[in-house]
Amino acid sequence: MQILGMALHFIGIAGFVPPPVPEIDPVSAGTAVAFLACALLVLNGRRK
Amino acid sequence: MDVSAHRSTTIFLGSPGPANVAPTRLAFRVVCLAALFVLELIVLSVRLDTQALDGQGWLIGALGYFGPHLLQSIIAFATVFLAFGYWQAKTALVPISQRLADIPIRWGFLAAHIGAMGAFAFLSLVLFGGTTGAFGNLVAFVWIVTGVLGIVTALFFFIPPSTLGEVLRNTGSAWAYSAAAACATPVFVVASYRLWKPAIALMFELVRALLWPFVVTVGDPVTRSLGTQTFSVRIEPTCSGLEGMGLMLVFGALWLGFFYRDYRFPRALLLIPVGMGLMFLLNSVRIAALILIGNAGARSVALGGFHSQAGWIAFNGLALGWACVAHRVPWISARRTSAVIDHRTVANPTAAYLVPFMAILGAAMISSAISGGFEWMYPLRFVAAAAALLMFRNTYSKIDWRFGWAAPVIGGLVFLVWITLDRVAGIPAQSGIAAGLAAWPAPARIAWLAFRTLAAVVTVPIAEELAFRGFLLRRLISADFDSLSLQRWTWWAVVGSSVAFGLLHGDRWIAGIIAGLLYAGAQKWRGRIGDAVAAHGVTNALICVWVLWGGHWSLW
Repeated sequence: MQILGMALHFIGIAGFVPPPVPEIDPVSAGTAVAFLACALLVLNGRRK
Repeated sequence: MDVSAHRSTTIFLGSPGPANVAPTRLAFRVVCLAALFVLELIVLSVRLDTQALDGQGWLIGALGYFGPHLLQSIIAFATVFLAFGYWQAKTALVPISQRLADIPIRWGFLAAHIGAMGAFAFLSLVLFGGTTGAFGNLVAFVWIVTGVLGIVTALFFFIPPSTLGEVLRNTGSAWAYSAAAACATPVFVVASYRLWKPAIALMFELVRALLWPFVVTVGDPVTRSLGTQTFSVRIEPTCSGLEGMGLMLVFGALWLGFFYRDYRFPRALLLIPVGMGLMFLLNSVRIAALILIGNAGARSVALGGFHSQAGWIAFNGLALGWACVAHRVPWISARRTSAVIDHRTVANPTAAYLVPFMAILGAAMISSAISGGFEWMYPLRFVAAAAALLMFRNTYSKIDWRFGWAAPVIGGLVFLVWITLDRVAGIPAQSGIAAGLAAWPAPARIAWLAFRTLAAVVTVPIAEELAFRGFLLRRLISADFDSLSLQRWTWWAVVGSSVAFGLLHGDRWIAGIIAGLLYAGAQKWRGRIGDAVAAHGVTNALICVWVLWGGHWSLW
């Protein structure tokens, strides 16, 4: 099951994106989101 | 009434632990409620298509037309209510949240929810299957009633009616803002549909202008086809740049909301349209670069890795740059001079745990972007991770890397789970590795396989265990994660970090979650990250043998 694909499907059926709902590669999306999350955590790591 | 005796027989939902300074129990239940609704909606929506309701009676037709907008309104209401409610009544919500521990779970609501959703699912099949006959409107009415019952019973199961009443009384006018957002959202969504056509036209012209100095372009604004004599693409609605702008809108709103104390409002809100505009421009650069790469002869790279990665790289680069710049512009930033941190003297424990993993992710995006079906630049991942590990070697010298006999056993167990689930799930065995390697001379082939194996057995286990078990698991327990023992364990932290680890493994997310749980167990065993790293390394080593021995390239 492609979690992110399903999440986009959810957004699609909610009507936030006009059809056709785009297909995305879940691994690419996961990699990018994880990278951004890590980078932001590191950027704010000195703030504790 | 003997409270202690009563408690001993009652099951509580919520995270136990030290005295709350935030409404954690309430927040936990809200997250559970949202997760349940999203899961049920996803499962049901796979079978539902509101277009199937067209022309089946007035109530069914109205459902087909207004259904998606109703959903938008519900999502908008819930989001705005949670945000404003929390903001307005954070202090008042803490004791309400704490009192939840004294309210027993009412299983009757869960039973009612299951019954209502069962009926809702059955009626959905009838309704969307078009087999309602003359009773269409009646079925639609009962369908709505069961749906509302499903929502209410789930709400009352996680948040008891008395608690809900207290929350509503303490969140003031949040409901009014939420209702306004619920009404406005469908209007904005419908209006936004009109933006797609002009956005495509504008993107078409921007890309053509960017290409003009480099190549002689061939384009047709009607079909939105643009390129050169040898390579052209069609700019589809999904390439119009609006999705990237949407991502920046969400990112910017979350960032400003999370760090609202650090900014001057309302001027800081200007950052959002600036970010969205830059994202739109970057999208035009992405499409222009894609055409130039394809025109240069690397057609498979342009349509393969670059097409899927360049947008994410652009978004990540812009979001990070945006976040860094936003903090440093005095006109927008509210951070006091005394609060500015001297990076040379203040330690950043997070960096040592996350940078190696980030290096792998960053290298993966770059190497994928310049690849077609076969990631020929994979060694970049190993080199990037090794360099990051070397950079923090002083910090790592203080970590206990020893491991015991249980680590390889757990590693072997995860390997068995991994390949078994791979067979059971029937994950497609598509991989461009075999074909890519076959086209290379033997020395290059051996070098690539050596780097791939080294990465899998050495750098990936170290980087991922530092990130997920060393950092995330403890960070989910405390912001001061560095001071916690590696044996500290809460179910929320273990499950949260394992789910995050699993989701990063794409189709193999179930195996990934199980692996994360077992590696967390390995770490807890003696409170050493070395055990988790060794277990992870053994798993990956066995997978390497399995791949190289049996040619199961899809596992890589």
